[in-house]
Amino acid sequence: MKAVIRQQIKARYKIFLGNLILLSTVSLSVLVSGNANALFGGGSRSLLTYWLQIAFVAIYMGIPIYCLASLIKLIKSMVFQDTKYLLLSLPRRSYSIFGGTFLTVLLEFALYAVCMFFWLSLIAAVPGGTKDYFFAVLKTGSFLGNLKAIYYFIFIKRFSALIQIVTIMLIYGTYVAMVFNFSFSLFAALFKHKKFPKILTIVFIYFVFDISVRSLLALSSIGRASIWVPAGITGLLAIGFFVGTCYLFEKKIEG
Amino acid sequence: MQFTGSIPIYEQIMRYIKKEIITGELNGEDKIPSVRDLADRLSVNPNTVSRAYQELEREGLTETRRGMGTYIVGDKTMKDRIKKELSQDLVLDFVEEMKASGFTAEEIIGFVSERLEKETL
Amino acid sequence: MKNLLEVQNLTKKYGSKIAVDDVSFTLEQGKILGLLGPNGSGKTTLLKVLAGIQHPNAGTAHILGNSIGVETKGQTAFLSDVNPLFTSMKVDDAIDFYADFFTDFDKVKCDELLDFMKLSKNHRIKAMSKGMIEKLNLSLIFARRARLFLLDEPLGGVDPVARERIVTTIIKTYSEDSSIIISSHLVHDVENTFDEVLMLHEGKIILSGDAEDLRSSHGLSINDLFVKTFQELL
Repeated sequence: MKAVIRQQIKARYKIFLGNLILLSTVSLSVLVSGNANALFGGGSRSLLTYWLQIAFVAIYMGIPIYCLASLIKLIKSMVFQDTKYLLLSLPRRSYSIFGGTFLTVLLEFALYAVCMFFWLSLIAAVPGGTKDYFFAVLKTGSFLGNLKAIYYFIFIKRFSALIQIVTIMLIYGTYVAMVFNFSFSLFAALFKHKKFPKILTIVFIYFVFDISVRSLLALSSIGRASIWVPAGITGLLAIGFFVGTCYLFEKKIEG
Repeated sequence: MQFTGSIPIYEQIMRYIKKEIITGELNGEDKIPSVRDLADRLSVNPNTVSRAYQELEREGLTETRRGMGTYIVGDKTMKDRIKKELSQDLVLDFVEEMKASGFTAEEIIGFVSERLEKETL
Repeated sequence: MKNLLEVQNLTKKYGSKIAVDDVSFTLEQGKILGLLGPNGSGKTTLLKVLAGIQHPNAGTAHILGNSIGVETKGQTAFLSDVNPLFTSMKVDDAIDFYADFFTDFDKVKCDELLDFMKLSKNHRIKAMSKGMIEKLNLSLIFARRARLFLLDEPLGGVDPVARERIVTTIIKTYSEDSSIIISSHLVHDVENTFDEVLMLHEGKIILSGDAEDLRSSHGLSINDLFVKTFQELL
């Protein structure tokens, strides 16, 4: 797995830095142009604000999608492109290739998340803006005062909540990634020497998420307030889908 | 060295070495290239060269000395023997080819004499 | 001599089409096998199964006693007839990739081969010609001390000078510990490297034997024997 991680980092770090720069540039523009408060609605809407809002949403939502797409890209390169002759001939087990790639992308996403959090905290700390938004009570102080308050609140006062939220997001994020991985692998294995059924795969993925969300809601409404039961089950399912993907690659999928 | 595909390569290598012995390029006690060297040089499979060397050794033309390489056997009668064998092979190939092309025995002798006369002039 | 490769009743189908049909043969250590046949005869499929890229429908294949799997992949070097490298890589990225994944990769030998093939390390694969990419892939493969080399059309798409270099490289790479299977249309250029020959037609073996024995018994070069055999069939 070390070799997989090393090679993935090597292949990805340039785009990673590029994304960080893009992320920072857009976020900095929001701050510097005085649009921090207008960003989440309320206040005057200039043309600049409009475009900054679009860019902001695009980048902040685009990055998680990019990370998810990276995992699908691996499957693509192992099944549909000529690189399959290289990747399928490597003396490595599938779990090593998938696991290593997943860990690299996860690490990359964690770094993006830290960067996003940093910029969001600065944006949130800018004084003024609607009192109804976020930590309205903080918005009356100075920029530095607000910033200190935000960090205190998140890292000290509600630290355990932070850990819990991060863990839950990790579990559900992994689950989503694994559903995609498994679905693409399943249909690549079923439609071995025929044309890959893109639409069928997307429909399948939709149904899996549909069932997941329904079950989640059903579970939550059963009295118990614990979020860990559904999270735990989701985690196990994520592991199951991961194992399933690896199995399909070892035994069923071919180049 | 160009090889004909229709005759086993190891035979052609053997013939080549025998020719070298006849013309005096290779003499008794001379070392011939290692299997690897010759294979690289001729762009043929080392096993083929190996087979040629084994056959040459079997015919008593070469000997392998442990740790030193393969050497031509320093035997005077050997040179005459190969000369005779090779000439027989060459003549056989030539006569067969000429006959296949439709020439009679007399014509063949005539052409050969004519050619050799021209060369002495 | 030990058997490096043992193939028994190997069959591979694509849907209803049989690509490799009940093929059995062995290959000793230190031998070079010429795998010949027209397009669609199953040569590439056979090589892919041995490389572990395809799974057989029936039969077995063992390399040094192990059935095809992760362990044999570490001992097998497969040269595909298409470029399997990421085009975003540069030559030295590809070298680094190979070095990382294959413990038998020899960087020094790789440098020598690249030099011999006249390739520079800084070149982007995207910007290289087809011939240059083939020479690169060949260099990467031969820089490995693999036990079994599987070469699918190693001479395809390169100029005659390059072909000569490739044949020379094959001879130089030959070692008594490893075996090579070469599938090629350009039989004439490469037949002097063969110890043994296997001819496939529609997935079945129709002719096999020692190359030199075939030459003396048929009085033909392997190339001509190939032409004759398939002319009679097709």
